[in-house]
Amino acid sequence: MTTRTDFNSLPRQPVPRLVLSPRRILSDVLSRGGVESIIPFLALSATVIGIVIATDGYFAASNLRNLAQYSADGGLVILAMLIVVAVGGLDLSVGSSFAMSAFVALYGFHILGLPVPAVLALSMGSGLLVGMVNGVLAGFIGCGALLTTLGTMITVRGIFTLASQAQLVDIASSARMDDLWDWVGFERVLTLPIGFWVLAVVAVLVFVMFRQTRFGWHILAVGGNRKAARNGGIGVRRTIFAAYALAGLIVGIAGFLFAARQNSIAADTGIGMEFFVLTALVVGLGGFVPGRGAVVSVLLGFATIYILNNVMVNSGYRGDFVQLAMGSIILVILAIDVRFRKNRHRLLASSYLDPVALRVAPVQGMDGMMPDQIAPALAAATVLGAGRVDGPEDVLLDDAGNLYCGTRDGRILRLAAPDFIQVSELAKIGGRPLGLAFDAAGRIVACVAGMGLVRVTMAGEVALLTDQTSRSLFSVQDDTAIRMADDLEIAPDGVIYFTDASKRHDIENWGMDLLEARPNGRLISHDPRSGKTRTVCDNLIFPNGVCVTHDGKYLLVASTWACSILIFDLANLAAGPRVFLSGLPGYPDNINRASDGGYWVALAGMRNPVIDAAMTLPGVRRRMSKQVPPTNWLFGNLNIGGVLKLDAAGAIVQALWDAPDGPLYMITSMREHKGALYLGGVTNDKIGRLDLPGADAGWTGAGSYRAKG
Amino acid sequence: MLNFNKWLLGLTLAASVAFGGAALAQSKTAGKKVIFVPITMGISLTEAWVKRMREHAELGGYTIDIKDAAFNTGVMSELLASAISEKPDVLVVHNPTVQLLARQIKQAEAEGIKVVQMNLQSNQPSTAFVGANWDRIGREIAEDIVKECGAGSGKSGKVAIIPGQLTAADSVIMNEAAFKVFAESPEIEVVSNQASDWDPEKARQITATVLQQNPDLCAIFGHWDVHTMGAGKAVQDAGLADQVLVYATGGGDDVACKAIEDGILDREWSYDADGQGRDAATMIDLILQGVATADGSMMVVDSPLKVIKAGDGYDASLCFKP
Amino acid sequence: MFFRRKITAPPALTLEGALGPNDRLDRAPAIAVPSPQAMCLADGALLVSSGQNVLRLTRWGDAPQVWHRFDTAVTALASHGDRVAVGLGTELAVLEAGDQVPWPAPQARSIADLLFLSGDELAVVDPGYGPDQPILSLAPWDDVARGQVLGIRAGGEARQIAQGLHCPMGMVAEGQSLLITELDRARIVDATGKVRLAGLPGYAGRLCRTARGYALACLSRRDPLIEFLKTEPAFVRLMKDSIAPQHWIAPRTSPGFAHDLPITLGATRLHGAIKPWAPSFSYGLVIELDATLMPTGSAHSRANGLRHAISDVCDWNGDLIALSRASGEILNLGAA
Repeated sequence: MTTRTDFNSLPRQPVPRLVLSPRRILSDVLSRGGVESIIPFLALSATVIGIVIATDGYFAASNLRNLAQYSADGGLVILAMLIVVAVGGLDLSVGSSFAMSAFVALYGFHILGLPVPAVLALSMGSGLLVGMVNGVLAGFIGCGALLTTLGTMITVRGIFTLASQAQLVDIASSARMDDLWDWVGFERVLTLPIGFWVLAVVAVLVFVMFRQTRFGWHILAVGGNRKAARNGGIGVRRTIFAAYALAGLIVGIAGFLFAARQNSIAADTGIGMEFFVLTALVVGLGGFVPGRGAVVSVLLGFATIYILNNVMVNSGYRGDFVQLAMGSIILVILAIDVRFRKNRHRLLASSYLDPVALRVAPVQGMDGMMPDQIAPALAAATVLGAGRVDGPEDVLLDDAGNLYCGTRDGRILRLAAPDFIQVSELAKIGGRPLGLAFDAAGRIVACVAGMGLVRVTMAGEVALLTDQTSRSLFSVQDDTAIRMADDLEIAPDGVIYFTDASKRHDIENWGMDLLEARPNGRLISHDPRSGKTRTVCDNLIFPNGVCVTHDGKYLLVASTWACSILIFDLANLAAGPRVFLSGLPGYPDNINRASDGGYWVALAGMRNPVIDAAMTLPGVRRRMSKQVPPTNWLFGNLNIGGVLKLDAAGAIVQALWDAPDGPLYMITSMREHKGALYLGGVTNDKIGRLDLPGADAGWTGAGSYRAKG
Repeated sequence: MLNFNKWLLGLTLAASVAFGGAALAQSKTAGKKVIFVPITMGISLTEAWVKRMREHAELGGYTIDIKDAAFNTGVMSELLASAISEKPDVLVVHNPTVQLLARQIKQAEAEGIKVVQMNLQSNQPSTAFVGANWDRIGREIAEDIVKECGAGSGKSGKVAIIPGQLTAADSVIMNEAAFKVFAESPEIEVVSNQASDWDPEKARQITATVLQQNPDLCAIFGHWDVHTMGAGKAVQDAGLADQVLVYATGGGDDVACKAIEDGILDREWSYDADGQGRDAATMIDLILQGVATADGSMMVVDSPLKVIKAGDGYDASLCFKP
Repeated sequence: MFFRRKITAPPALTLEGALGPNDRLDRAPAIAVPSPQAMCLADGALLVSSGQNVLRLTRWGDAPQVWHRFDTAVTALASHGDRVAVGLGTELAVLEAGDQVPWPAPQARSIADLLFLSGDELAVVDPGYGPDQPILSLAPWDDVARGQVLGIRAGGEARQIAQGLHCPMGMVAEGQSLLITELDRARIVDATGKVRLAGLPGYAGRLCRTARGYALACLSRRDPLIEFLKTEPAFVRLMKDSIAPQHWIAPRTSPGFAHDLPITLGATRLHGAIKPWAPSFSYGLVIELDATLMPTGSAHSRANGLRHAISDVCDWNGDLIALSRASGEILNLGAA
């Protein structure tokens, strides 16, 4: 009855080293966060390429320096606008505030004769003041952003006009020179103008602010959903105020840079700037989207618009024509961008499911045992904990006969022996607890989908053992995180072997993995002594239940969609899996030891000729996923299944089917304990108990491991 | 008739250049590069200049590129920066203010680019200036206003000044000259001095307001005819066309004469844009041939003035057809 | 990349408005009858087929009495005065006051529905499949329109009233003409083949006259997956070549699960229960239509219901009566 001699004669299971698919790469790229900036980036690239082709030396170093010099203040204002838009506002007053800051700077420099740092402070103060007024009105008083900033735009413009009319001639005829002033306006550091460096620094700061700081997160939260942010304890009004004030401050810096560079202002300074900035913002964000701090996208959008405008003006096109052309080009970019954003999830959805042909071996070894040939044995099972356990994927019994199971809401429950009526919570883990096992110290180790491997003591203390493994080669997506830890087994040496059923689909969408039929899963080991986690075998087809053979030398791993059971040699894992059993009549889930030296295999669902045929036609499944609503997708029949009993050599010796109308169905786990079989189902709300006449009434699963271990 | 004469003159000039020293002049100017950065194109002033400049460029075999700032001062300094990067032989600039481009003009001259300032000068002297004598215009108009509105005229003596931009050269210099004249005539009162940004609509609004506050206004001194026409419309709308004298300066195209015929403007000191174009083009030719003052000081071409007045002495031929 | 390919679905009625889901069929009072298939009114009483028997019901609530027993399963019923025509697979029996009236057998592959055009002419719906063939499995995957409607006179003259029909299942007289249902095409045509109502949300079965128009029995609800798979020739070929017809994906008459039949993703159970809105290959649906064939009402038995596969409807004394093949019941839906 030992399998050792058999192992080398079993057929090898080929496992791909590398899974490459253009559709998958596309979908991985699309699901990355950075893809948001792809259209602004492409627009900028197209603009640059177009200009390189159409002009002669536009991108010469000298002109690039000009661009860097003159775009800096606009770029700063864009960042200011981004902050305000991110918080869910709008700032039309940027142009006026910008002009005012520039005026204040010139006034301070030429009329008051202040030192340059004081001029900078004055300028920033001017911007800050306007920002604060906006912030008080829009944030604290709650006036609409549009009207508030329209008001400040007109008011500040009025003050600017009055003040500049009075002072401009004096400013224009001032002869004051200052080295620092000229340095800010014209000097270069590392070949690039000061203004550019200021923009770069501010951009990095804003980027970091949105990414890393509490304030930045608060801005995004308020912009994303004001109500939710308030309920989340964020000071919404304070955040809005601070965002406007910060934006004002940045506008002040921009005004100062402008003043230092131009050394003059005109009545039209900053006029139309708000629209230019909004256009760039909209191109960068693909619309007017609050709650997004996409600094890079927005700067790309700005660069696109700026360069476009600049090149056309430079090429000597007439001003009105430039505006017309700009308008049309922006509309085109926007149309594409909005379209892309709108359809990105659709594109992602349509490319995310990337099925391959899977030919499942025909059903074998089931003669006389199929559901239509014998009575459904599980119809006679006793129902335990009905309605009190939500989704017991795995069931586990301790020596005292207490029953443990995970639930859909992330808890581990204990059903007390002997009658299992008293249900109590052992621990609240979160995630989706699936496979369970006892370690040598009597603690429960659980596979938790969405988390990883978790250890729970009998006192209910929860400890995370591991949540990531080594990254596989050439993966676009970071696949180090364990996505769907499914079932585990602890080998005699204490190493935990567990399956990550799908690296690609979450527990909510595990059905997609069937339709894809790709080797998306992996077998992982975790050594609690060293704390090291490593991938034992990557690219398995939905590896599910794991069981160490009775002799402790091999590891059985169920491959659900392949309807087969693989076997690994624990002494030589690198040799890869061989096929222990194939051609199962359904989809195997957990595997557990039986008292007679054989194994129980849970069949979560049954194959049928139609789905078997569809599995060989990936194109049909892909088109189905696009054209048919998900609820109508052809699927494995998970409404009916059962339990198979295997002997030690892997021959099917018994089949226990559930009745088509319940109460048990989609059996995902079973444990033999003292002459009875306990059955769990991942979508059921009950546990079954079936007496096994003739089984060893003293045998327990936990005991069988201790005897060897 | 005048136009025909001009054309003849041009032809003879061209012929003489072609047969005479043409070969010599062209060898010096051929292949050179000139960039013109106007405040805006699409107005008769700059269009008239460019027309003449292009004619000369064709004859001289050099290129002339236009970078149109379209009334945007921010864009303009940027355009000038990129123009400087292109290292032309001559750069023609049209300063919107005396200050805006001063630094860049200095920078361009330092890099060996000859800068011709066109009609509106900056604080910064350069190789050449071609344009109106604003001091003289300001003084003459002010004196005319004093004569019409001052002591003994029986009028209020109230004058509204409507500059384009307060810091533009014409306004700075004309205002200075005019206020000097007005200072000597205490009966003249300047009731408004608000810039129109060269926008007729804005000038109209300013004037309408001024007229409401000062129904006895005597004269309007508009610094540029294009926007002053807006002021003249406001005067007409107020029914005060007979009472208010509208003064303007400008390039003197036929639109200005039409405005005078229609009573929108009363008197225009024209600096003849067409003639200025010729002057500028000639200056460019000369600079390209290496002409400079001995001491490196600025060469100045003072545009001859034509005074176009409504009334008996009105002469439509003083205006040019663009 | 940006513009999704337009998928042109045939114009279809959705289960909304007058056709919105309800549980009228599941709530309806019922009388259990094993294997009901067809019914008709004769002399004010209701005749219902039950396997090889024809039962007679004089009043709702009474126990049905065996009226006549045949050697083979009854597939269609029709009456005219005292005459009752009974379809028996390929055979035809016409009874008058308990006595057999000689009538020639039609040249039909099977008899799906019968109608007296006059006292001595019977119209016969021939779906184009034999009585033992699983019509529901075959029809969705069959492109050949092999069905017809025949007219048979007692004297022996036969004529073809309509031809080129795709699996016709029922008919009703409309003036001098006929309205004929086509199962898988989910539409109603007339004898000339002109489409009168297309895009039905269910696979159409028999049709009857009611006081306000018509009532249509649907054997199941149209399924988007099946409609999609029809556009996948490789799949259809593979299924036809390698799978027995009873295992094909198709509308079904029974709501139960079987290990060898496919389900859809939305039909998986949670806590042992099927959601009523889950997609299912079997369904109970009666559609009420006005005289212009505009749907005015409907009765449903949804995915979690049992009264699926409505094979016949009729208006009996102002009550709408339906037969559920899945549950084996006569259902009284109340006022027609």
